Amino acid sequence: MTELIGSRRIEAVPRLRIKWIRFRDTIEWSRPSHHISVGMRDSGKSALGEVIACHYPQIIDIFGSKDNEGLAWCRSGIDDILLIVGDNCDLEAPWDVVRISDLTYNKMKNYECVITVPSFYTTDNNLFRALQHVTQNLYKRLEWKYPSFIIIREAANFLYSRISKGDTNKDAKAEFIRFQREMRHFGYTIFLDTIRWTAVDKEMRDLADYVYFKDLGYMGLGKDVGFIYNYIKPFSLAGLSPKKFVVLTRRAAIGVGTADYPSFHKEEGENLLTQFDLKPEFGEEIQYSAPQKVGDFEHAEFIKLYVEDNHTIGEIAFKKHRSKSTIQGHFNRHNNAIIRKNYCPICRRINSGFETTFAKRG
Amino acid sequence: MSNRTQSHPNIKFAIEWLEEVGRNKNNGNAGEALRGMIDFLHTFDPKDRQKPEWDKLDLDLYKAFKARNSIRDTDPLVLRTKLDAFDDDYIEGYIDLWSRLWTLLWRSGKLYDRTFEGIDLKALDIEDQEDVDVF
Repeated sequence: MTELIGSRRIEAVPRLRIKWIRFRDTIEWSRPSHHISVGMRDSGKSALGEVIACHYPQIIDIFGSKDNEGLAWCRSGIDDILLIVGDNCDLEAPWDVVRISDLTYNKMKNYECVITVPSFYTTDNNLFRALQHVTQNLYKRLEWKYPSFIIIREAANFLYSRISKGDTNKDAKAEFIRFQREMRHFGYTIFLDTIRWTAVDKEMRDLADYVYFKDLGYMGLGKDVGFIYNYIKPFSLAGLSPKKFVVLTRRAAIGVGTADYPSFHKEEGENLLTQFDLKPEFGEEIQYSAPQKVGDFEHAEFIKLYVEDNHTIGEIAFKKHRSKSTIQGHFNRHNNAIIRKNYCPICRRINSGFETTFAKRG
Repeated sequence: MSNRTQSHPNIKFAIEWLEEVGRNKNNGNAGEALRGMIDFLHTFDPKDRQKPEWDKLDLDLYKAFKARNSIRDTDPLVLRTKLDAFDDDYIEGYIDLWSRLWTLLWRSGKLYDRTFEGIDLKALDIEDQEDVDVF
């Protein structure tokens, strides 16, 4: 019987080959672990991440760069893909598509590959809000048998997603460290790539089970890992071929290795949206709630609670921490819009199903 | 072994690792013999790595190590004959352990030897190397 990882045949999975030069170690695919890859541009960091990802049954590629690199999974042979798009984005695709506000952990847990890319959002703020939402859902994986894989190609995206929520830079970093530490408990293996060794805080580096050093160019190794030069000639790490790497493990083993090149990896200058004929279409900008502002989804929720669930305005106000007059104001606005235009533009924008339903009883 | 050597993470790691392997019942006879290795490590000085004190070692370990050395150039059939005197699992365990231990000691010692030249990774053909793990 053919052994499978997800829907992929195990023998077709790209491989890592490691020659251990100090101690001997192994890469444990069956346990959640933390990988960091360090190297210059074009040193094959992302490709290495993809090779490692292929050893896991579920791949979550959401923290990617603006060139939509994550879409490369669509030609990896995996069919069971969930694309997460912004709330005002319509996308025709041969794979399942879900708007970010409709995304729940239960929805994403059964897909082999979960992807979102910046081109599915109108603004960076919306993207960061989406990443924040996905991250929260990741914490709901209380039961698991085999680790899932999260590839973080642009660590900055995680930090900005926190800052956009109102965190300070320091809070965002603290949350990032917590995220990396906690994800192990929820059965996620994390892969993080970075150009500079010191661009990742020491607290994050110390979490790593495996650190891969690729072509380091003129930067060389950081001081705290400089001992590797006892084993590898320093200049041989500059201009290293993209498939080669040095690996340092948590158990202090050092190895030199090569990684297969993943055939589906995005090439430089390639537009994957065109290649997959993905044409995201954007509707009106969705307004999100803030302490002093009722967003589109909250507006629709007021209507739902009033019309479908038969709550009183007082009960809704109590539940949503808004004043009664704010809620009454939204009902008036909703009803007036239906009288004038035959639909409520807010409800239409988010497709709430109440765009022609008056907010009234009886 | 000097304090510096004893507290060196590599040596500490080696001792911990050997003790762990020694505790594992699946390692059978090899596990028992590890006591000898651990004793050896406790008296090992990396600076003297050219002159291991073989006479302090268990005779079987010495033979196993010699067998490991023979593997490189010996015809498998000849090797088989040499190894026939030992139980298969027993000798395999030793060969593996010795291979690891020797690499470990050599590498640890190397840290004290500033004249050592590291590997030229650019020139190294990893796939052609012996003993490459595939993941």
